[in-house]
Amino acid sequence: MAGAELTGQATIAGPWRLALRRLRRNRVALAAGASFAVLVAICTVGAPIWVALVAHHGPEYENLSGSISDGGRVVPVVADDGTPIGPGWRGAYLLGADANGRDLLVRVLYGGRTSLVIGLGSAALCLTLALSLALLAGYRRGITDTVIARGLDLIWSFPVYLLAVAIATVLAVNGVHLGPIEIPSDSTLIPIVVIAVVYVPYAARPLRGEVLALREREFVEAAIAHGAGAWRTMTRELLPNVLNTALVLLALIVANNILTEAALSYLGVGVALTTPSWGNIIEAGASSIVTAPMLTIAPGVMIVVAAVSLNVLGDGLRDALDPHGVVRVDR
Amino acid sequence: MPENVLDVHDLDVRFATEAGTIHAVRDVSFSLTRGEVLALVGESGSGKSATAMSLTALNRAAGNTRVTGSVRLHGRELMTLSERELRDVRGAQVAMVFQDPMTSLNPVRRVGDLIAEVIRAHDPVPRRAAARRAVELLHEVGIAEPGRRAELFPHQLSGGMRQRVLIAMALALRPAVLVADEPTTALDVTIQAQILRLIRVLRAEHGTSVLLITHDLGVVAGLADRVAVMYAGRIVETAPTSAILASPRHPYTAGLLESIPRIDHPRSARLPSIAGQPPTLQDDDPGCSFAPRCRSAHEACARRPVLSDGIACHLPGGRR
Repeated sequence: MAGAELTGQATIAGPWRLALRRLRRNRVALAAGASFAVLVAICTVGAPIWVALVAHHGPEYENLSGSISDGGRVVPVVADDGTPIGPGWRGAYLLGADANGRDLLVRVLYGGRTSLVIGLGSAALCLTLALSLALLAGYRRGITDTVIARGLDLIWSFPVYLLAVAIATVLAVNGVHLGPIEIPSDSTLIPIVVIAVVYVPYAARPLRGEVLALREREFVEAAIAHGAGAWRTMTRELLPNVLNTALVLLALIVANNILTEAALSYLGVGVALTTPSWGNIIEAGASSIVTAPMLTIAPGVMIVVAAVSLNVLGDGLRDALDPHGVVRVDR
Repeated sequence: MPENVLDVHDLDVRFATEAGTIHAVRDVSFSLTRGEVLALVGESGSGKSATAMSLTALNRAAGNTRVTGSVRLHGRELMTLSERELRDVRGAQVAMVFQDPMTSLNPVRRVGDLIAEVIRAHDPVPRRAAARRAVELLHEVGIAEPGRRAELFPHQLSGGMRQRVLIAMALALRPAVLVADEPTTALDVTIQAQILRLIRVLRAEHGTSVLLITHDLGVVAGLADRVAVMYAGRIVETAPTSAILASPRHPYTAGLLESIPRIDHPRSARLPSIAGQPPTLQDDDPGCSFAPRCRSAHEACARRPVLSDGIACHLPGGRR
């Protein structure tokens, strides 16, 4: 009998642990992951703390006629000609105010919540839909696959933003009324659903290809020969084999969706204007980009940090999860 | 005469391909008694695997395949069962051991989970209980330190151990029939012997009937009680193993046996082989399929011989 002694934990490390080990050696990806985590933390936990301890007003608080003391002088939050106060070293209005006298930093922090919720939420929804369709198409093959694949092609054939704007416009006017499902037209669920749907082909098409290839592997046949039904074959045999791809896609899609949210909000069909989001803040500040550039720069920097860190993290995940990876970590 | 566990009658399999219909299995009938090992022998493309896949209608899902005939398990007809009913048969009553242990195990799951999965597909036992049972099964198929090895992934095991895992998966629910499709082809000779011994022991312990599919007559000699030789989709000869190895009656069987190098025979310059190629399985010629390659073919071979008394040949024994 082949009875080599098993020694140490190293032998037992599964593919996920090996991937984690590879990821930990990739400093760039780790730094990217950390900066995204910091971003999430300051928007979720940091925002209310900042408001409670320093700013003393929320994101909706308007201060059109008030004034604050800035370095000993008393200055109006919004000047007579409508120019808001700029950034300065003080507690409230650290990054200045917007045209309505609202605290820009507080708005950027709270807007980050909206943008992140939309980015993460739509990515989760998008990937769930994509995985379901890919597994179904790849498992059933034949006519089911044809219908799903052509449906994805149909969505993909539209320019993403054009399709998103079209759907979002319809939904933003009417809201959603589908039997028991009622979504008011100003809900953040609408941009989540819209962004998720338009990017489903982006995730579903590569996943479907992988599932189709896996479907022909002998272990799938073996599982069926052992009595596995459709559900069991899809969830236990096929799904675990595409999770690594799905994870990489998740990071990239979150980044992409944060950008899409900003773009849609900028075009006025994203998040309702009453809710701050990075896209909304830029949209509102765009008209005064010369007199108050911070209104577009601050949320813009946040978007860039979020998108870049997630993209770099996604690349690192792809390297780490590649089973053939000798891994490019010697940087 | 013991009661048959498996009865296959007039099994017929056709694949529709772009090049026309392939008639892979033609009127195949055989039966298995309890604890019996029947070897289905033949060269590539003779219809062995297609026969095995048809037993639990595994090729039914592929839309281009048509299977007719009758497969009875303990007297229950399987051919007319729904996919749902078949799912309960597959793995639980008729289990398969696949050819290549390198590709037949899901690479991203621990082998213990793979075995537990088979159990849970049929039996709603708790996860823990299934995991414990998986370790027992690993022990049963001769894997040392089964508790530790259940935690391993397939790529961390040797080929022989993987084949043992496949056998453990197949035996998890104590099936009445084990279909072993070339179970040793991908293994080293020494490991082959271990696996054959294992199948023999398990057969003796549990009374499992085995349908052994192989082209390796050495494996046949070591394991099978009875042999059915397939050629061009038909069974051309069937007999007890010792009889067929000692005195093959069908010229094809004789040719097969002659083409095996034997250590106890003087080494001749060239290993004999059967001249010609097996027929393409598209057109159904009216005569004996083997006639074009047969040394003893004559006029009678223009009619197809029927299988009677274990042989389908007009001139059993042939003329030398």
